[in-house]
Amino acid sequence: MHGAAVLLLVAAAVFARVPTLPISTSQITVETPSVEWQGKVAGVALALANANAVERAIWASVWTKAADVVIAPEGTETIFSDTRSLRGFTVLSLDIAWRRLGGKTPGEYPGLREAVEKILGDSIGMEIQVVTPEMRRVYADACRAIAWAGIGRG
Amino acid sequence: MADFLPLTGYVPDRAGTDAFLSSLPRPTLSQAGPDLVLDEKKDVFLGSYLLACDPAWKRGAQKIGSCVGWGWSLSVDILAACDVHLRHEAESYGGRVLEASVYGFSRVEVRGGRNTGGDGSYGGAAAKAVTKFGTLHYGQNYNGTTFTDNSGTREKEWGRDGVPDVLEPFAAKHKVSSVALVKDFESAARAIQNGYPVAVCSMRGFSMTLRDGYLSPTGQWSHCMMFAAIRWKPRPALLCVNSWADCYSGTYDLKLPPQFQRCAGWVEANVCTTMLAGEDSFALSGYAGFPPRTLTDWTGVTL
Repeated sequence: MHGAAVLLLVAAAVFARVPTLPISTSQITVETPSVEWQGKVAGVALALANANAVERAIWASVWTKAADVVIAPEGTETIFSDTRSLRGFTVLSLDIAWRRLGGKTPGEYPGLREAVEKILGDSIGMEIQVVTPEMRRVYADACRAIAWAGIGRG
Repeated sequence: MADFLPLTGYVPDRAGTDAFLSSLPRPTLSQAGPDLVLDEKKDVFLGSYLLACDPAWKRGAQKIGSCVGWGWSLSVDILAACDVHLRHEAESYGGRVLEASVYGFSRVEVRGGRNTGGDGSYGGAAAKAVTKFGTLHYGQNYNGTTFTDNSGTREKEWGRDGVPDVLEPFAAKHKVSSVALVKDFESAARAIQNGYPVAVCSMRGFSMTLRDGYLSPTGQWSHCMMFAAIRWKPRPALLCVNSWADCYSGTYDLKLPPQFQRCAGWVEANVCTTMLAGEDSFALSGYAGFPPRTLTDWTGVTL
């Protein structure tokens, strides 16, 4: 419960500025991923082909900041102990930014869920295991590539 | 120094161990693992794999003369962790082995009847226990029964009457597939370097004061512990983990994770060989662990 509360606070702090929408995509800085990652996230770009600028901005923002949060050094208390906590953070971040604040409903963009699941499943795996520094790095790379694909690239 | 009870509980049974060894097709490590190579420059600490599975792990303290259950249970825990993180077997770590299960099996089921003698057991009996009867774990639900804390009373009862019959089928799912007698430092080092921990039963005692992490032999302990690491410098030694919680004082090996600094000490090679020469110490290999645990998905019902 304590871990979940901390995650909620982190996510709330990260996305506190989202209600100031609309925002333009030009406000979001997204790194261009490697060619390999660009290929992996093509499904996201395809699924979001009809998204408008605001939706793309929200999408890029949530994934970019998710990457920043996870790649940041742990404090005195380990938050991302195993992949369950990493998944919980991912779900919470999307639920707050994409569904609650962005107003998007599950299934609104066909293929989006499947595309993201494949990217994270292929890169991190589905096994419940300890989160290693390497895993955090891969997660951050995946998030940034997903953000890049959503903002209209890829 | 932390409070501790210097309980032991190794009761050698030469005939019992010999009978078990005679049942093995390849009883010694040199026979069971002829291809295992010894690298005299390679330090290995198997405890890191255990901590990767269980970052909150901390060595407990035996409450009765059940050291054989403790030394062997930690050996199994480390073996299971090596299977997951070193050998990347498709299984998960299922929690600590319940010391009472190994202890009870070794005293009763292995011998074929109730055991109303005093506390204690021996290496050959524990070897047979984990290979023939298996192991139970803390935190697992056994038809409504879950063990959360170590209990000296439970160890006493199971050491007298055996592991309850209703639990034996659960234990049988998690056996060690093979054990091999380890008779000297080099063999133990070879096993550890290849990810196989060694449960050691001996009469060797030590000072409770570490000197730069090393244990100084003195006195006599009828005791079971386990070897979890090998180092070559400054002096070749194996890391001997006790079951008396954080019991040692003196100058610790600060290169070890904190969880191991005060519950274990380095034992020099020649002393290791004298401990292992009693021929009741075993390397463990091949654990039947738990099925891989997987996430349902990564995004829930959000996209």
